[in-house]
Amino acid sequence: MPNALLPLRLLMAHAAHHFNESNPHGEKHHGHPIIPPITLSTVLAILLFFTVLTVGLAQLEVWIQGYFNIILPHWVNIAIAMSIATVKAVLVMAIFMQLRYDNKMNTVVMLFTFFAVGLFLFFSGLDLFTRDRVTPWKAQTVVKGGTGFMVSQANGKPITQAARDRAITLWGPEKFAKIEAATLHGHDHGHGASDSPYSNASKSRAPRGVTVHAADHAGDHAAPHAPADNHAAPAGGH
Amino acid sequence: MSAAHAAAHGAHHGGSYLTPKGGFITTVWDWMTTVDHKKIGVMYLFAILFMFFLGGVAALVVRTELWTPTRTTEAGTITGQLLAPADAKSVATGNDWYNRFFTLHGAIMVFMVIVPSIPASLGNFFLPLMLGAKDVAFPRLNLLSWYIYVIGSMFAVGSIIGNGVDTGWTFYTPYSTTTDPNHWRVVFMVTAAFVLGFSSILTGLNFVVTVHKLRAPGMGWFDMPLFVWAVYSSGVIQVLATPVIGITLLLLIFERLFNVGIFDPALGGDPVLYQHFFWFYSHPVVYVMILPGMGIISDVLAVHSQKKIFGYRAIAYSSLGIAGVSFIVWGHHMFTSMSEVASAVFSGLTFLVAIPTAVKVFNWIATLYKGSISFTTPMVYALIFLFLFSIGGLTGLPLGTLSTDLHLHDSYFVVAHFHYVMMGGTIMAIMAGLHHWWPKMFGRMYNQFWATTAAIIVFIGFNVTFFTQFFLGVRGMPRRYASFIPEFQDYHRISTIGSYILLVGFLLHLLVFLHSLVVGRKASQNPWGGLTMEWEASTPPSEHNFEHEPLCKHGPYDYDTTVPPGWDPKDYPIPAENLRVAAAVGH
Amino acid sequence: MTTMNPQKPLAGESLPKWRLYRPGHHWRSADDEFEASKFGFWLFLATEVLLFAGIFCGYAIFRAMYPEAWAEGSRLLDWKIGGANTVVLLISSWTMAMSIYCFQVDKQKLARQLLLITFLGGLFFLFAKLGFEYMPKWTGYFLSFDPALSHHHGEIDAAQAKFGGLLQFVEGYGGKRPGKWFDYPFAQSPHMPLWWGIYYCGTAIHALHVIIGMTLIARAWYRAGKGCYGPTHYTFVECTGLYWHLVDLVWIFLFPLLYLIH
Repeated sequence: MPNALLPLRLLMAHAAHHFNESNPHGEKHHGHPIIPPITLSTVLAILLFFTVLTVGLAQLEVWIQGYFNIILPHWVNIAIAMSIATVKAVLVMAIFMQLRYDNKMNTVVMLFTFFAVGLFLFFSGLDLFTRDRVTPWKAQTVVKGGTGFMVSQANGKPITQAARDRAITLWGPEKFAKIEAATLHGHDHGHGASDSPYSNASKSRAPRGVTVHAADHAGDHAAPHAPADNHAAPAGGH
Repeated sequence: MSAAHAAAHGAHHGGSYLTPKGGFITTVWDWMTTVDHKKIGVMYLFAILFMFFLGGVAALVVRTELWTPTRTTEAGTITGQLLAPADAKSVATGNDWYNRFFTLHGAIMVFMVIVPSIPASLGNFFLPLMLGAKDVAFPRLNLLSWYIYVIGSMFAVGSIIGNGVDTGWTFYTPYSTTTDPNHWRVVFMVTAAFVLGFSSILTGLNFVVTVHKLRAPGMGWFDMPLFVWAVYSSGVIQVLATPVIGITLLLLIFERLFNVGIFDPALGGDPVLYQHFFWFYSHPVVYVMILPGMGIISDVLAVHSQKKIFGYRAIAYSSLGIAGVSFIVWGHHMFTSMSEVASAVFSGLTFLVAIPTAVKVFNWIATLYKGSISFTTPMVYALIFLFLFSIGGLTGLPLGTLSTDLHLHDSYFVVAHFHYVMMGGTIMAIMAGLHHWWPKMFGRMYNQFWATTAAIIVFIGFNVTFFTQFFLGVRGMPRRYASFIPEFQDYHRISTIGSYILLVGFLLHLLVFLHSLVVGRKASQNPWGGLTMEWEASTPPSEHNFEHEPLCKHGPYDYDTTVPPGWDPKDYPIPAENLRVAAAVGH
Repeated sequence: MTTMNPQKPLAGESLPKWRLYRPGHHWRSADDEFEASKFGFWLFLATEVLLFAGIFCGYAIFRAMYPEAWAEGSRLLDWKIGGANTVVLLISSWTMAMSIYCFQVDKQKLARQLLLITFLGGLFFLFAKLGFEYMPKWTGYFLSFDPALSHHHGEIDAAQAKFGGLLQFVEGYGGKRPGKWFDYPFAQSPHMPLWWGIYYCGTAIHALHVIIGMTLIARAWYRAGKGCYGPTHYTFVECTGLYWHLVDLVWIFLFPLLYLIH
């Protein structure tokens, strides 16, 4: 069989007459793209604007939730912040990092990279978020002393509880209550609340939602903001 | 090397790359500071062979220990008697020693031998030559990556000197965060793997850029040898996967030093998350291990049967296909620890790997069909590869199937499977490549009779060692145990005998190579009749590879139209109608 | 931009170093070498992105597992410091890009000044990170000029101040540490130490990259003083710029994830 690449080779042999030694593959050279300062400065202005916008919107959400006494779903917050971050990132890559002007191969490298990151996140999440989907016994609830969290070496309590105990011993209950009131004042309203109050112990993740009072199950001290609840069963009635 | 090599091709100005630059000190200094890809490739080769020796010793210790079923006290601990210090006189410390040795074997063989083996040694040497380039894209980076490899290996050796680690080469978190509480051994070993990752990244990055930018004039993407395609694909994996092991091991080091608790269940972390992190790198990296081996086999089969490779594009694309699929199958290492949904998805995806792999194997067999096969040592190794790798690949299927994997998980079946793939695949491939390119690298032939004999001894030893382990695994022998029930003793003894046959085979290879270096007869420019560009260079290649920038005038396997460089056309009859074609393109 | 410094070599004057640059022997042209270096550097940036992917993956998984710990943790971070650092990094990214522009048009002096500003931006970032965030959160000690200190007047313990009042101690503020070192008494979620583990690992690895970037910028600044870079050869500055933009890029994502998402 004659060489399948023959036409190509003949073409090449022909082209060899005006063969460019410094560029044998006929690649398009992108050289040194010069980006005018006005473009760079405009991009900076847009980036700064988006920074203000993302902070402002995060504040706005908190304000809306407080003012109208509603709870926005978590994804609103994430979607807005991540969308703005993505736009900013694209701007930085396209203009500051010159992807828009440069060899397209560099863009391909970056796209592959983000694709790999996506695979990494997706498949890790696929496991960790579906652990309770088929056999419910894999998603049992927290029992006293279960370790979904770090336990203090000293007294076997959750380390957060141990820290609280240490502070109470050090300062005395009154001073502790005073500092705690001052520290927590103005915080802990609205956002972060959830509908699902139990976590589980045989694995390290709540099925969905929040482990609001998980400390109560293992800790003996009643936290002021978290009423004690020593039941091992899912406390769905919170 | 001796000065005799230089004389062989004294006609070239500057002589071969092996020509000493002066006295002993000058020559050593020249090698230590060289940016020549050939010298770096040779330095990698010897560093890797040394680590292969260390890992092999550890493997023999493990097999020797398994000669007897139970660990009794002083008298029974063969390992302890030979190697452990005086305190290894109890069952518990004896078991620790066993754990350390299989960890040592795994960590050294994976991180320091198989991952860098083919790309860093043969790839470094031959990738630029095959492309007709003077060097890799970033020569100084290349030297840096060798030094990083040496530094990483030193960390590992430091850990070994400090009594070694017993976590298994995967450093799974409950082991790697709780064992060795007051020492730095685990940190050292993990640091070693972390540092070696950088070496791997730099090598892969260098090769990818070299392939993109430094092909000879006339060499399009589909005029590249398949070895280059394979090394390119594995370079892409190295760049995209290795940083994840970097962050994993970095977090593991933080975990040990600062107790941050991301992976440690005792601190609220998730050990299965560690496994995800680890296998996101470590599964793609088994393709870093095997892909360049597949490239070698593609080249060796075509050259030693003097036939155009069957399905060039299919093999090239399947390399990229394997690289792509490698990123979405890592969960099959964790079927017993993952959720059922994820396990089912990963099981399905795992079978995708079989497609590009089978494409390669079928194309190789089709290449052999009606070829003028000569049973040279490289060819024998390539055939051994085909046989062993097929067994390795097919035994992967029951492990990828959820229901059978639950039985076979963490058993000797797994051990046998990955040894068939990694050793029967990669190590056999590097042996094939080494014998294929040895004359070009060192300018000397070796004794083919003894080399082939050694290859057959290795083949027998390998199968005796590892085929028995399939039976052990199916019958329920778990991996990583120093003790076992007496019913398994016969299998274990056969396997241990096999490992010593392997030792004999490799020692014979060592003798053959030493003999070749000292008294081997001079190699011609192109002893096997290869068409790829490295055979156009002199033997051994000169400092700058080629006298002039070579022009790619034919495909890498156009045996139907082209007389190999350095061969007399009279010895190489090409049908008249094809010769016209050859003439038309400039021969 | 008042400093115009065109450097036209006069007859008999020695040429600047960038004009004398010759590409490596294995390259066909300087352009080829430049593009290959850039391509190689982009591959390296890909590895950096995937390195940080580990942190982001850990963040995402643990956030989904323990959302209340993440909400609580992000409330304990001050968006003003994070926001200020974001602005500083963005501006330093701009000065970096401008500096490359200046090398391209051979405004050597301005280019070096811009590199210096970029370096100072990195320095400010690290100072804010260490002085206003790490130190108070880890130990409870504030710098006396920290604006956040005024919110905590009630709890300042003057007796524990150090270095002549430079470091002011606020009781009940410190102890926000990862893992077993955790000692913050008012945590609501038992998973709080894990949040700090991710916070410290992520920001520390990012800060390490800031330091590496600053080292590169310092080298570029030093070599630029010797006339090594100019319109036809500025590969090192270009790659330094790419690296610095990547540091910025990572922070663009870390900032909302750590400070804004609740």
